[in-house]
Amino acid sequence: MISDITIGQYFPGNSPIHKMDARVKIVLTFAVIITIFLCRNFASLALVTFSIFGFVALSKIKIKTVLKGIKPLIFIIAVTAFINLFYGTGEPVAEFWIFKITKNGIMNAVFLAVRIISLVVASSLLTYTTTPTALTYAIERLLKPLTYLKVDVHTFAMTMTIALRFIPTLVEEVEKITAAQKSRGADMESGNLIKRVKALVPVLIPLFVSSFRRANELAYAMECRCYRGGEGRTKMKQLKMKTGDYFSIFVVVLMIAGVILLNIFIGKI
Amino acid sequence: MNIIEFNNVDFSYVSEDENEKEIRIPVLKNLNLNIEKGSFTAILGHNGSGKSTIAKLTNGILVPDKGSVVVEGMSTSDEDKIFDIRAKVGMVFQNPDNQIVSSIVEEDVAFGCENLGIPPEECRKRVDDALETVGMSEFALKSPSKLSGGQKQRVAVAGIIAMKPDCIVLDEPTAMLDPSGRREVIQTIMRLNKEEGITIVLITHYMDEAVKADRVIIFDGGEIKLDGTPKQVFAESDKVKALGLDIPQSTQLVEMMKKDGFSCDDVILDAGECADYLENMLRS
Repeated sequence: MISDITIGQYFPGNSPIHKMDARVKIVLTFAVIITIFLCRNFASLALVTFSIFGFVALSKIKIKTVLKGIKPLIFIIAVTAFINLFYGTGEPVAEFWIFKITKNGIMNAVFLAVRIISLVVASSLLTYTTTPTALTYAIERLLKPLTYLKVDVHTFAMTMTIALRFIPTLVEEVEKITAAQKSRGADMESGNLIKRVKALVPVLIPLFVSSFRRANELAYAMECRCYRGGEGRTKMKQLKMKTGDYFSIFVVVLMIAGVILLNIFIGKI
Repeated sequence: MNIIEFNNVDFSYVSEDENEKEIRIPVLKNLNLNIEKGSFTAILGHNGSGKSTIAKLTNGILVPDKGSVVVEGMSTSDEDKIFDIRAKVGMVFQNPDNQIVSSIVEEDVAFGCENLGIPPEECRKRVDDALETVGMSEFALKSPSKLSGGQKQRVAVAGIIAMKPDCIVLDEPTAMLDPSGRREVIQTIMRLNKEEGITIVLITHYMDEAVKADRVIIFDGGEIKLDGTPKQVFAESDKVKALGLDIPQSTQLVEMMKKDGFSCDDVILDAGECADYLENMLRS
């Protein structure tokens, strides 16, 4: 079940997008997401969507994988679009009881669906093409100015790295504990929702206890390897901006300029 | 020359009883122990004999109550020197899962290097060399969660080697591994000792691992009971058994044959020696 979720997963590869500086990827992803919200008409939204799919094509991630990432959100997209159908102004196309569907409403619904899909694809592309460690390191570097405000950015990044590292270990542990409890006669699969949630308690408590033991041992091991926080620490893998990064920045800036122009000249839908 | 010296070390764990009164559980009493540079020492003892405590005392994770632990002239009680000591004495623990920090093998190996503030290019070189030494180069970009227990433990060892320590203390590194994983780890340790000249202190439960060392020390109740080469120690098989430990199977077999009237002048430690002995005996 847990392995079905593709959002946030990393797909190894060697494409120009994979090779980009993770900092640039994060900033550009945010820029694109903001631009999606700035779009006021179909022309500008189409420009953004095409750019996003252009980047997807460059990343050599299969379009099927990308669409699989949208699948769990189809319900939300459908509901939002459906509600928007009824919020249009102007001449109704169809009408029943107090509900009116207008041409404007239909356009709004489609616009919204495309917008959400673009959002999901843009943000998934970041995690699909960036290793979790590169991502945390990039976040650490991007947030570095905050250290002047006495925010401990390094500890935050280290915590994230360790959390990501321990996800597979803990998943494995949950499976083991579940099997152990089942073999002792625990019933995990029948009953209503409340009963099933209650059945999780005998899994969660051992997991909790063992996590503390792990944390303790890990702290020892880290101390033994001379860990003393971020100060005086170097990093084997340095982040470096290359031609590909400057090119991508250029493309995104052009796209934003295009969106602004289209917004001005075509106006709102 | 000694790399680690325990001088009259007392150590006890402090905990609280139900009334929040302090109780001290003494573990080590007036311990004197020297580890020679470049040696391979195995420390044996049953659970609660104080052998893990010794490991944690060697690099200042624990500090003695009385006496001193000195590593290359630096006392572990000296807080300014603690990271210098830890850079000299690396430590590998029992559970490989709980000592790996990163979700990519090579980044985990680099962790110690980075903590020491070594420049990136040098780090890169050390990490590649360390992975090569433990035979894990092809897994450099894999996730540790996809490796077997023995492989994970070798990654942990690589992470220590990358810090270029003079000594590695391994606290039951094979206790959670299957036989093939155990063999991988022990072979790696022996190669480090013989080829790189790194001092090894191996704390273990397994006699067949202990016989590979130059020196075997048996602990009980926080005191050294037996200390010598494997042959000297296992020659006193009755004493070893009295301390609740096994002796290697081959040694046991020859002991039993001796009782039945066969003669053997040497102490037999492993299967190879045992086979040679049996062959000679059958021929004569």
